[in-house]
Amino acid sequence: MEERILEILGEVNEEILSYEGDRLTKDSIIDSFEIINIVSELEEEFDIEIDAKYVVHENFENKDTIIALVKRLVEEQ
Amino acid sequence: MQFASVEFGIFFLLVLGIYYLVNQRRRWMVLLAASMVFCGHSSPWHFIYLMIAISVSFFAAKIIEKLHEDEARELFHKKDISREEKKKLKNHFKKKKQWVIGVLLFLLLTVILALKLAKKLSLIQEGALGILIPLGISYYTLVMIGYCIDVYREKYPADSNFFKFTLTIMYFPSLLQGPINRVDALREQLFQEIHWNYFEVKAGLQRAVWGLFKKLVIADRLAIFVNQIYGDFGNQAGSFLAVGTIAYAIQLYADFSGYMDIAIGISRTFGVKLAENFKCPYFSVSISEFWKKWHITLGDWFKDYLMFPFAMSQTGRNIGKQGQRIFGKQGGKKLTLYLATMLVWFSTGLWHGIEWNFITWGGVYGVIMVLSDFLDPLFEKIRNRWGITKEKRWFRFFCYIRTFSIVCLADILFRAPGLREAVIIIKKILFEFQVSAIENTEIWLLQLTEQDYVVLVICLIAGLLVHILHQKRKSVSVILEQRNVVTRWMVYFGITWIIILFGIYGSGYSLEGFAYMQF
Repeated sequence: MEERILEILGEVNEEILSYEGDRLTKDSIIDSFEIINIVSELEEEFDIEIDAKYVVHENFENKDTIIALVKRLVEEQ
Repeated sequence: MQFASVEFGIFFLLVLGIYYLVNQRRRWMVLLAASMVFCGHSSPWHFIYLMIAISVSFFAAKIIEKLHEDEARELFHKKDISREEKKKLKNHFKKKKQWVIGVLLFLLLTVILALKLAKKLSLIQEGALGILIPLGISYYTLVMIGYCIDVYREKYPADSNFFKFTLTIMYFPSLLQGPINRVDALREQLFQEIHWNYFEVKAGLQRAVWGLFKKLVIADRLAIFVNQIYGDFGNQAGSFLAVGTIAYAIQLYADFSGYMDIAIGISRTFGVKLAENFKCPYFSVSISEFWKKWHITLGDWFKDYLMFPFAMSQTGRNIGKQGQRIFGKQGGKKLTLYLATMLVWFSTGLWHGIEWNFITWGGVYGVIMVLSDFLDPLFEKIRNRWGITKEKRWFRFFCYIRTFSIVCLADILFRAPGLREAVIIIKKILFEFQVSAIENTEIWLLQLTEQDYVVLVICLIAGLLVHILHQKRKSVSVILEQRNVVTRWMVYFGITWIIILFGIYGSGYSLEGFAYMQF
């Protein structure tokens, strides 16, 4: 699962994979378009629904928090 | 109470003194009392309306929280029900919570729209009752809506203390022009233990004085020239309209960011750090980057509470599915994205005003954002073919100029009296430029003097230097702190005297004197 998530993130923006910090959105490494793209791809790939309430900075700090979010939603749904 | 006034200066110093004299646990009460005085001073009707709106939001959030608790209790007691029944139960509570949000939105937004419409139709004017459109209404309404949506999303619990909640909404440094605070971030700071910190208070005062300098010396001086040109646009050559437009772009930035500097600086003296609203926006390589650096808190609000919810709603997903049938998989996803973008930008235009020029302004930016994304692959191909990378200095400079030019063109829609007038101005700039008209010194010196232009040039250079430092992430406060005490105090006295001697305190000096207060 992790590998596939990283593949999706890389397809949207390669910088996400090499980013080491925890301010992916706050440092504008990815923009709104890319966030929505990521959400859409992850929903389709893992058959989950990512509600708008999950699209917050805390869940998109870096690739690890995105992976954690997807794992949590897959378990819940 | 105007920020740039002696009255406010006395008020602020009094509040600051009392704040640090009282017991730690009572400091927030000092800010609450000060905020109520500040709000009531502008107009008693403003205060009454705000208290009603705060009460409605407070109780709406409490109702939503109660519904969360009821849902959790029902789910706990009905642990053995099927997945479909669980989903049905969740949907039942979801609809109730959404109904509460819907009523809140209806009440708050209807009032704003009704007031703006009434003002447009000249049904209400300034009078004995004071300014009838509560100043700051567009700002704090968004704060309250955001708060209730956050409680609905279970991001944090609803406030249980009505007076503390009142302070987070009415907090006077950000009441009239933002920044548009997030309640959780602000209340974390307002109610924590604040200790006297000389450096923080000093840095806050430095920032506030810098904001006063930008507003009174630069923005208000440029406003005289801009008002002269735009006030008689029909008789101006395109070249003067172009200069006036560039001057307006600088005026608007100096005015709005100046206010933010004062608001953030004042707040910092109380130990409360407000969100930044500007990050050197005119150093942007694209319009997308510009809007990540200009009025940041407004953009973030629309992104979090309109763009994402729409894009991820059932409606957004259905549009995407329909779009996929016509445009393919990627095309379908882009369709939802682009519609969400247009929705946000039209809403942003409407937030500024219900006049056609503001709505068009929003639409223009929406189209630019959509086209930028749509054409990005093509532009990348062209750049790769010619070996142009975004890191090349000349290319970055070209992009800064390009972005600034687009912003200036859009600003015409913002500044012109109406849409028709904006179109006339744009046509004159493009087709009746008359470059030789610039040599007409009579127009240059109609309202401003030669001394004004000398002051402007020197102050703009100083402003630009400070911006370059900020762009390189260097703090002017820290740089000053490294200098000896004589140099530091020379700078403080120097800038204070410049404000006193060269500040514009003329006819533009009114309660709505800050450009963004009109929204």
